[in-house]
Amino acid sequence: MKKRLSILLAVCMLAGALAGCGASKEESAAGEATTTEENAGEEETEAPVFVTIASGVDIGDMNPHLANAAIFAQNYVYEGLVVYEDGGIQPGLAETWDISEDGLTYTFHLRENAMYSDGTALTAENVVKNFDAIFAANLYGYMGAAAYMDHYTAVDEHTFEIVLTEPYAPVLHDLAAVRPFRMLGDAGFMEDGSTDQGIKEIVGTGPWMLTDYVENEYATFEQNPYYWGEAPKIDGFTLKVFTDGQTAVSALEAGEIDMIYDMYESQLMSVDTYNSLVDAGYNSFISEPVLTRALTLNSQVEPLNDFNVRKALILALDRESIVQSVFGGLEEMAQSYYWPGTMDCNVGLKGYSYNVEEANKLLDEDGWVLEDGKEYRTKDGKELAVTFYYDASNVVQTSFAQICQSEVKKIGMNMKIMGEEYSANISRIYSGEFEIGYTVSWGDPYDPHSTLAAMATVGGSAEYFALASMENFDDFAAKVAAAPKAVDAEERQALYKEIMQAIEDEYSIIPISYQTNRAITQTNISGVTFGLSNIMPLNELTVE
Amino acid sequence: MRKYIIKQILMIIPTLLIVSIVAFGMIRMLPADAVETYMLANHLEMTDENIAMVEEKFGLHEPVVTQYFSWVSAVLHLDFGESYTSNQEVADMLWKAFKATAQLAGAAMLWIVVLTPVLGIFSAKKPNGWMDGFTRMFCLMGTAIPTFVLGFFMIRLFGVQLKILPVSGKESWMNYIMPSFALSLAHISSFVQMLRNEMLENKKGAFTLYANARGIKEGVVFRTHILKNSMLPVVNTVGISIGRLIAGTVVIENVFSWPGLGQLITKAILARDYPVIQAYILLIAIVFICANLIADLLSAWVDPRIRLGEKG
Repeated sequence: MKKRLSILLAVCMLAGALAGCGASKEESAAGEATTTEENAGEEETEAPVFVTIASGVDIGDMNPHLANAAIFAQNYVYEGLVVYEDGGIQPGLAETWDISEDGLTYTFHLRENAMYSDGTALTAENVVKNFDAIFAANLYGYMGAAAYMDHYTAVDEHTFEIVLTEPYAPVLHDLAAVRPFRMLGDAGFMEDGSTDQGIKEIVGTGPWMLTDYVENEYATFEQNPYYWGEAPKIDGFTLKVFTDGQTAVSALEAGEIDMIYDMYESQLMSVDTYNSLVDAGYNSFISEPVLTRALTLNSQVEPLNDFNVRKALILALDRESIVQSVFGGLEEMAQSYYWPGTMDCNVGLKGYSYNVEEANKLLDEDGWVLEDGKEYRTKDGKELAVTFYYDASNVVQTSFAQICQSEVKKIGMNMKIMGEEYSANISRIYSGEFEIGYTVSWGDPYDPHSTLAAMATVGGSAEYFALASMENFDDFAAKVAAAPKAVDAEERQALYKEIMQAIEDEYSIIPISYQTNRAITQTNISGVTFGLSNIMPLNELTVE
Repeated sequence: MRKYIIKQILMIIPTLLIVSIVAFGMIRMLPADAVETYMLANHLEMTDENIAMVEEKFGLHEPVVTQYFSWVSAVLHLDFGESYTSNQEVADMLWKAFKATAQLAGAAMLWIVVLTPVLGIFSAKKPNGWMDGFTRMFCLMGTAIPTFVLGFFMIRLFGVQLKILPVSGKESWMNYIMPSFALSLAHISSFVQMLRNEMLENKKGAFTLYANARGIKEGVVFRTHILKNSMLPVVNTVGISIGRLIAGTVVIENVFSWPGLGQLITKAILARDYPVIQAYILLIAIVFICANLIADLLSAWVDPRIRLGEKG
């Protein structure tokens, strides 16, 4: 027995030693970020540069027209006619475009050198085929570009035209969104030309093409050799799926991955983690604001249907300190629901102030009395109490709930906080069965027109329940519908100003902070850039 | 024994029937239903028209009883339907995830099968000796430390500090070491304690006394009388633990980003992906039934008294 045991032990130790060697070799390969030897016979001695990036989500089915794929991954492969970059609409697959004077006809002149990754050329016919499939799927009615589309045609091989039923200025914004108006190569369509039941091949015109993929494990992208634009600086990259942020950070520290890039869809680093990695000397990058975090007060239910109660609640929140304590300087306090840098949103709103005295005065005047020895105010025997429903798995929401609870106690308001499962919370908020809830704006290119439209639609968003009790809600909704149709830019700006002022005057949506995207990389990586809230552009990324 | 096995196999049918009804009903009682969750994920406006469209797409427009029977009849034809969120066949998704989990559970089982007897024998040879002390400490820690804490601790130590094991991925056998060990430790701890107690008990048994009296060598007595008798209940429990290993991987799969059943079901529940959840519950029920069967067969194999019971 002893003999056998000792043999077993010896074998185990040997195996362990061998494993150690194997690991250190692999390790050093990974540690050097990613350079692998090129096959012999290649004249260039430069080895291809690959980067490994942690991703919190799997890339999904990579169908450009549906919502089953990660947006940032769709964005690598598929392109639209235009893109939203640097605060405005820029050429995409359409090099130029003309807009008719009545604002109804948009004529796009496609790039003649745009090619799909299978070597086929982009044509207007192909664009029509994509639009056919998107409209057949009938999933995007909430987008003006779909709702106001009259018809579209291929004028010639490289000219594509859409005609709207009514003028709708943000149509280009909708076309710039990552889905659904992105182009799939002919080889990707099913026999009947549809895409809503799946696609046959992943072929796009974008800078990257998917070359290796194991669901829920990793996805490798390499340069599309036919890409029309300037080639990215790295040869390819692998997105490795991590279901836990701490593990992703450990993998970064172990040198197995080169970058963690947090955006709307994939969030692996808490604020503390990010700061500790910055302190540890890794390279760090922060984007401009991408969307707005807000608290929504349901003005349809008691006691929040009382304007003074809402106003007092808002005045009692020291948002500056809240944002500082939750984000430690990584996010800026939001003064308005839309970041002033968003198109049409720099309308000079005043924002809400912090004034406990005034809040107390409002409640006093309103008849909410704080009796001696009591913690909370009452009115007609009813306690001043509200409930904040939040997603308990979300650290930011949990912090908001806890801090707000202690903040409003100062004015004798009892804020109960109720953490729930994610889906249950979302569904509660969208069906109006809440008093206070956490929401975010959708970011570019949807802000402000698409989010406003959702606010003006029954049950279209949580904010609807905040605004619906507005005295002249129909008038507000009419302005929301009219603003994007205003062909004249000044007229449009004036309408948006009125709309946003009306929202602010309602005291029912509390902007908290402007969310940013953040990245941490190994020290040999630079050129990290940002874009929309849910994309991760890698064209400029370089490895030294 | 054969009768018993046949009876067990026949019991699968009513068990699965009950499980399927409970599973079907329970997930429909969750707050936020599949239609709502799908519409929110796709930014679909909550109009009656849209709701009807999605309900029909998922076959949820029919009465629940009708839904249940059409699901059961499809399942009998081994058709588990399509996922609501990804247009994939549920059977494929489940099979892929099951393979990953089974590999992990298999590796954990290897740790269990190797370490349990080694540690058990170590500690029972000289009770209260230093090896026994070590083993008892090991078992105490194994039972007390939560799996995810152990997982993170190992990642920090072996992955980040010593850099001898990979933190992520599942490409090589090295990737299996940490998650499978973390998964197995709690099991090993309880099995070792069980084995140790059994052995100490058997050491005091009359048959051991006789064997010693007959002058049989100590080692032989240990192997044939003490160890063999002590293994029996342990083998049975180890067999039953297969079910717990497969169904209990949710936490460790999340820590190690393992693409198995734990991850699949977490996502499916968040998305209210009914076909996936239903099929998962059925699968786990089958796994538990099979694990119990295997445990019984193992016991019979180790212990002739059970095997020959009916003839005797």
